[in-house]
Amino acid sequence: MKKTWLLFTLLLAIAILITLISSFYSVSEGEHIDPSSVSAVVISKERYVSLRAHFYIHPFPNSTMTLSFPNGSQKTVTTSYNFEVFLPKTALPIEIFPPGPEVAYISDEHPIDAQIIANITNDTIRDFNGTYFRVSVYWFAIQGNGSVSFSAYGVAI
Amino acid sequence: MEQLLSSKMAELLNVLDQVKRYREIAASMIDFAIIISATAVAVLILNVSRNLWTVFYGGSVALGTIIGNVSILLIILGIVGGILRVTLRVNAVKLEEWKSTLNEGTPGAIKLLQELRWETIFNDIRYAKLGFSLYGIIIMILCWVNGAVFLYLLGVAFLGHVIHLSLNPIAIGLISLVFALALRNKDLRERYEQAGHLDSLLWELRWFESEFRRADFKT
Repeated sequence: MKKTWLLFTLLLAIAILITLISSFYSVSEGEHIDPSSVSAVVISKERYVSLRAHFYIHPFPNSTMTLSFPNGSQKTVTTSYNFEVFLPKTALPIEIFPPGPEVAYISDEHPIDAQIIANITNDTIRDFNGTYFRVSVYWFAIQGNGSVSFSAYGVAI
Repeated sequence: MEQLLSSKMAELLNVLDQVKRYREIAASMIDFAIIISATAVAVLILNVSRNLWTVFYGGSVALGTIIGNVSILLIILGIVGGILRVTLRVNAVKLEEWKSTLNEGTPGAIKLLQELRWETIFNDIRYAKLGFSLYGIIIMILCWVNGAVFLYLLGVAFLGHVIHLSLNPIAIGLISLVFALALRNKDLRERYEQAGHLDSLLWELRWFESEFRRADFKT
């Protein structure tokens, strides 16, 4: 009987751990940047998700790439450069927000999203900087001849 | 006549010893399930911890590789441990405890016959058949899973890096299934035949029991 209870407890633990492991999300992408226009790398997440993103910038030989951040700072890159950001959760998974304008394709099933958007305009930047009920956005603009890749990992607990 | 009785009795008791071993397989299935479940819990905890670490403290390729290798090692150890536990329990079953009584001749044989608890034996045979078949199926599935993991690793380590080929998951599943079937073919056939033997043994013993009771009643 003790063994049956032990097995039952282990099966319960497996069910809980599988539920837990399914609350992790990841997204990754990489592409060449169009040197003739300004592109943006946009990471967005539901507010109840904690997210860490790693960015890898690879300028082509003898080329430079310029990164512009929302706070106005800029960084010029001539060799491979990488950095990471952590976006903490700012709400609980049980909180309900009214629907509002969304900047990214996120849902409860996939609460993180990352995109590289080419040829951004002032309107696009206004969208990125907007305040949203459900979504947090991190973005930076990138210009130059090279490629950018990133991977983002999030957890909804 | 005395010799015939003793030899028939030895034959019957040998078969019942075999049933005892198969019954132990069925009984040790819970140990097997506990070991495999504990392994699954350990692997899941390891991977959840790795994922949490990656999100909150930043991950590294080395960490991912270490956790991946440790997970595979744990799975292999769990399977081997489970099989070892079942094997040890089955090997610990005491056999031929009746030998000394049977050596007494006809009185010993009759004494053993009278001591047999028929309903328990019939239940044991049914239970043994279940355990015997279940264990065969589980071993087959584990061979399949191990083969798939091996092929996946071979695909990642060799085909992917050396000859730039990748195996798709369905192909991995099918190839490993064929390998597992080829590897366990003899064992599966033996188990199928043995299950049939246990069925016929059950019927023969039922007939023997009714005959024995009738004879017992007459005396």
